Amino acid sequence: MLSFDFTISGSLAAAFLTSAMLPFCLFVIVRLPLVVGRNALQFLISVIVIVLAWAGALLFIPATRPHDASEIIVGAMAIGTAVLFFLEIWALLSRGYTLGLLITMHRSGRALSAPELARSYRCGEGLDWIMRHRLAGLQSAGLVFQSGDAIVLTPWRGRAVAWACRMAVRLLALEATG
Amino acid sequence: MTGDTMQASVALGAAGFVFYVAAVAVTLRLRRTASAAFVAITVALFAYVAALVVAIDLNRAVNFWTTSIIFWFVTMIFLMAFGALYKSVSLRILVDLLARPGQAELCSAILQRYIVTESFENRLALILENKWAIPTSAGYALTERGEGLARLIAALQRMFAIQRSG
Repeated sequence: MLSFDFTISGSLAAAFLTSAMLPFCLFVIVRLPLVVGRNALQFLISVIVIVLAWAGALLFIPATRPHDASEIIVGAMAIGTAVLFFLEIWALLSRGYTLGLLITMHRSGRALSAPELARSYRCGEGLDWIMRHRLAGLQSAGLVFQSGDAIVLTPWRGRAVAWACRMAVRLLALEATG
Repeated sequence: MTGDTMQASVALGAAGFVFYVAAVAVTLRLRRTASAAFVAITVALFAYVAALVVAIDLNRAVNFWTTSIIFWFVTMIFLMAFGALYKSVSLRILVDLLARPGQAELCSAILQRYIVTESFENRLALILENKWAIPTSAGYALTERGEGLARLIAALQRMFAIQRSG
């Protein structure tokens, strides 16, 4: 027996519509002079804008007014799903290592040897840039610290996160390829 | 939507996710050649369809949208974490530091091992495996397929004013 109910509430329809606006919102926000080149901030501002747009719709458009708290929660989860989906794409476009290599080869317009590819990576910043960027991120998150020429895991947070990651990798039988 | 329909939808979406995590863990252990990312995405689609099929057989009303959102919200969170565990250079460095004496290693050794050797070579191997580039006597050259993908990525980066990636 078909037991599906396809009824969609006004608040959920509003969540879908505002979620669909995220790429357009991002398209406009990346052009604001204050946030040029700051990819994470651009995405965060876009998410805040669509969440505010959704909240505004719930407050001021009678047809989208939720009947109970569960409608708000489901609507928020719909927006969350869309945000995570676009974040995956955004992260690939702005931080993707493999795609970065492809773009480097494309921009060079000729065949590149492995050392040339490594040197030309990220408009000539080279592979050292990845090291500096990733370590800076780990340091600012309080997961590692620098001691002379060595990188050390922080005693609590760093070890706890590394341990949790190692367990998850083992559980999923993932050989981390980094 | 009645409270009963909401409860059934939430339970079904959550059960679909639990089934997904179990299925992906088993499939990853059994897989031979398929990439982990391909397995994670394919199994997610399969688990979603399975949850919908179960809903059709249920003797209770289930809301399609609520079930789908519950399932995909938690599945997207899982996929984000999965992607980080599978490919993140930062997490790889953390996990490997844990196994080192004193949980410390020289910067130069980390750079050489993960960035220059393993990660770079893995990425290059992936590019060759997907036939986006081929080795030639002059070095690695993009194939037509690779050129097409690179053009698409470059166009998207231009559209979203992403100047540099990596």
